[in-house]
Amino acid sequence: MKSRLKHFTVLLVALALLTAGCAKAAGKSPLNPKEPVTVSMWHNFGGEMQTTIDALIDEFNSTVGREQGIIINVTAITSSAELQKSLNMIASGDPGAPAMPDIATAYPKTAILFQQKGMLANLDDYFTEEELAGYVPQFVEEGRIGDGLYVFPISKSTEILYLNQTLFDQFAVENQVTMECFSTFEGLADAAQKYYDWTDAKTPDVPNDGKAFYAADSWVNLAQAGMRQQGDSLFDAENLNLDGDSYRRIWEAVCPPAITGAFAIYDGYSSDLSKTGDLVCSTGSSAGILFYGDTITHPDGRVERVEYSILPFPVFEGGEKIAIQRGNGMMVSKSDRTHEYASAVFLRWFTAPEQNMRFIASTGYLPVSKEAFENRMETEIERVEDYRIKKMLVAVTEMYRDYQFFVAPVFEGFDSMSKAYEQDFKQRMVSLHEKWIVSDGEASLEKMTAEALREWRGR
Amino acid sequence: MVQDALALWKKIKAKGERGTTLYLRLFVFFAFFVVALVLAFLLILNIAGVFHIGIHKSQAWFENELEHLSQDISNDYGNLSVHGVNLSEKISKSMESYLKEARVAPSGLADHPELLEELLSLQMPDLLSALQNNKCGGAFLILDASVIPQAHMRQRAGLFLKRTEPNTVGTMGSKLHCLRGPANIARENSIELLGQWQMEFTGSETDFFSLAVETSRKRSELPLSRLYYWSPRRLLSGNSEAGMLLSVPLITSDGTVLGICGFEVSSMLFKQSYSPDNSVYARVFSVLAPVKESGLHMDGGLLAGNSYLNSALGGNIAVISEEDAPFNRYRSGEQGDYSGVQRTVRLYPAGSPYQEDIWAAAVMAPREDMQAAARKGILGLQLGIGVLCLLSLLAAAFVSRRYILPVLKTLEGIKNGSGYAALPKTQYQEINDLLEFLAAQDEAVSAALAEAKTGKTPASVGTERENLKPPDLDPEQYQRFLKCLETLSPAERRVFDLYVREYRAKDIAAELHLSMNTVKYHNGNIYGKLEVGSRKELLSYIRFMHCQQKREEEEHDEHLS
Repeated sequence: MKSRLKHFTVLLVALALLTAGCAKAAGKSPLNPKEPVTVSMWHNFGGEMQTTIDALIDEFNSTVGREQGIIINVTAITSSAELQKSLNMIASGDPGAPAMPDIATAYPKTAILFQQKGMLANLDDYFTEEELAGYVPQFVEEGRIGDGLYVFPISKSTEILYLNQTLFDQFAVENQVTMECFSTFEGLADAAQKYYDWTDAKTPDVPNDGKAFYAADSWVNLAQAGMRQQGDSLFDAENLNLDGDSYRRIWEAVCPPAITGAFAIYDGYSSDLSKTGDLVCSTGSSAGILFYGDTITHPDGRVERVEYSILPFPVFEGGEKIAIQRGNGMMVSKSDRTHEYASAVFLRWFTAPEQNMRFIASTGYLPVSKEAFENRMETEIERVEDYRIKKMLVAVTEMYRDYQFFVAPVFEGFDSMSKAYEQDFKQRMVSLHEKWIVSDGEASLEKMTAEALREWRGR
Repeated sequence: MVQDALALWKKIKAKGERGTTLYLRLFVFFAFFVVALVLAFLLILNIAGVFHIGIHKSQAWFENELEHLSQDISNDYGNLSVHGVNLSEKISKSMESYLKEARVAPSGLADHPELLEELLSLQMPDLLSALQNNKCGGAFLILDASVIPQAHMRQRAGLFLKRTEPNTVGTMGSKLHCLRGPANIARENSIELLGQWQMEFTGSETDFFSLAVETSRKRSELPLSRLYYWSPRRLLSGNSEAGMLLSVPLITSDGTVLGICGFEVSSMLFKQSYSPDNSVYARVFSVLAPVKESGLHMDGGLLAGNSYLNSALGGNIAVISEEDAPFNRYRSGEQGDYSGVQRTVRLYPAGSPYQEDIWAAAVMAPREDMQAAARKGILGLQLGIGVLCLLSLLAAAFVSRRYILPVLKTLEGIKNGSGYAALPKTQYQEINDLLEFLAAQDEAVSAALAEAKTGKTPASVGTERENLKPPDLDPEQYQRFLKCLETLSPAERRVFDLYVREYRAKDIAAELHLSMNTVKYHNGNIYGKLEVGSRKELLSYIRFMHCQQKREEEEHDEHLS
């Protein structure tokens, strides 16, 4: 009896030790496949990108998510601008602001608002140095705010020039303009004015109804790039730097065509104007390629097939080949270890080369992992089925060989300052254009430009 | 192998013929008792429905969610239908008025494409207002006409405004985009064009248009409130988000059907509005889908729940069976296996030409999740009962062992050749009596043998015994014994005195007219009070008493002489 009791006791102790050992081993991951954690996500990959992102999330939920106990639940898909607006509401604690999602796509300029309030998880706690070394370093650095990594690189882009080659060819033939005009902003401005005059002349009875040639999706990005190309910076210790010659050159290239109407000043994306043939070229995010179709629709309903070309971002004369590095990342809200850990698992999987390239092939963003970016691009470009994305990736890959890239500064007031710049600039240009129309060409363009700069600098 | 089995059976049988051990019998008895108790307990639990409590709880939860879901859908879709009818009346009136001013008959709209842009532009305020004031993902208006002459079979002019916002439906501050419609109208209203914008609707993407318009033309006697139509989920070409479309015909006062207008319930809106609480069942989801013979047509319905389900489930038909009562079992493709509940939802009023279209709201979850939840509650109970059973069996083994041990020791002692009288008392009266009886028998046999050997009677043997050397007792022990004698009760004393006179238990019973049980009872008390462990020990004291008595008599005689 005693020996049996002894055996039983030994067995019990062994079982207890085994259970404790298992629990300890499992303690590293707080996830439990039997009690999956739901991670809410907002993203801005809508439109044609949505099918791809939906499929990737479905795949994650059915595989890695199921194994580890994670469910990614997308609760909002909207444009980047709207997403940032809602996120700003949350950061400010506005009444009626929605609940903060666990993961959201965000730019560093928005993320900083959350980081300063301690509302973001530091992703350095969930990724080892070795893991982070697998990503393109400047992409990772862009997401660092203060002491940690708060915006994980997901999708990167730069700014390129979209050209309606069909419309341009029609114009270029009759006006001795060549593709060379797109290498500099000054050349582009010159071509724009010629285009405006050419289209205006088509309706001699109707003055000042020429068509715009060019628009920028972001005038502040254009100014930032222009300053960098000239070895300067638009921001000087968190203030706008508008006083020097560098900025004057930018102003003198952009303002006159904006006054005459050769440059379109438009509140929405330039692709909107392109769809209706109201624009020949525009600069915008390389990830916007899917917004440019292969047709334009005229007001009378005629649909015309067109071809687009993708060109590098223009450079101010004498300047360096420098362009902005764009693209948002994903920030993880500070909650509990389980949700944060689960979010990190998803980010790790989503940006792994295989998934990253599938995402790239149907969205037009650039890959963020070193392996994909440096070793697989050429092979993957061949496999891309959408000819628009293929064209864009070829152009951007070349840009990454020839250009240097800069990242927009990250400080608390940056977002509001850049929004104010954009809004004010557009309002002024619209107002100046109206004055120009009213003056019926009698006002001096140079004088108007110089006066406008004076007022602009004094605002 | 057969030979080995036969040999084993023979061994067991041979062992059985010798009888089972006391310990095993007792253990089996206890074990049987424990098992019977546990089975009775399980039966009671089963009758009380405790093992089905998990299923009942699940059922109550699902029914509750379904109740809310179907109620909300009925209310929301009903409201949209009502407001859709209102919108149609407003737009119809506005269009009729415009055409009247332009001196164009409503039936001649298709022949005047030059009027379309202005006509559409005039409807924007009503459309925007309806979009802002209703719980919908979009609002639209489609005309049976095109800006391209003679193209109105392939293309149709209209407007489609979509709401895109990042969170639960609110009507304030939502961003609008234009999916279809003249770009100028969008720009005039500061609405951006979606990436998939096209100016007009294509014929192939507007089959719902044809159905709604044709039905209204055929059933012109019906009021507008009976002519609205909810299309199954569909995706407009180039659009990334599918949705259900409410189509209400635009009818002028002369009965001309100009087109349709209505609202969209997009996939995202449905998800935001009707996702069930997933704190209990992580993968639960809601469905609104048309019901046909083979089940729920998920490819025509909308889902609300975790997004990973959409692509896996959305394109397949879920077959309903009632295997998992009280739940329905739904199968979708090879891998989809769900349990849930459903209820018919009325989207159409009585008299509607579409009332034969049956729609159902359902709440379901992966079958494995449901089964796990049902098992969860019982698992603890089963574990508890299992542990209880195990502990009971262990206790049975322990108690049996403890019970039997003294008996086994005594039997062991007997086997080792100890005399019955020398064996220690057990706690069991029957065993002690048996040992006493055996000890007495033992003495009788010894006496008979001695008589047979020497030819002396037991009495003489007893005398001789008296003349033997007195037992070696500690004087103090003897004095205690004498003192303890005083504690005997009169009845016990009578029995003791007869033992002193070398009476046997049987003789004592006859002498004192007592039953054997009574004698045994007194024996037990005597032994206890006199602090003796056995009859042998008692006899030792009695012999010592005799010796002391004889010595005292001898001393007395010497003194007298």
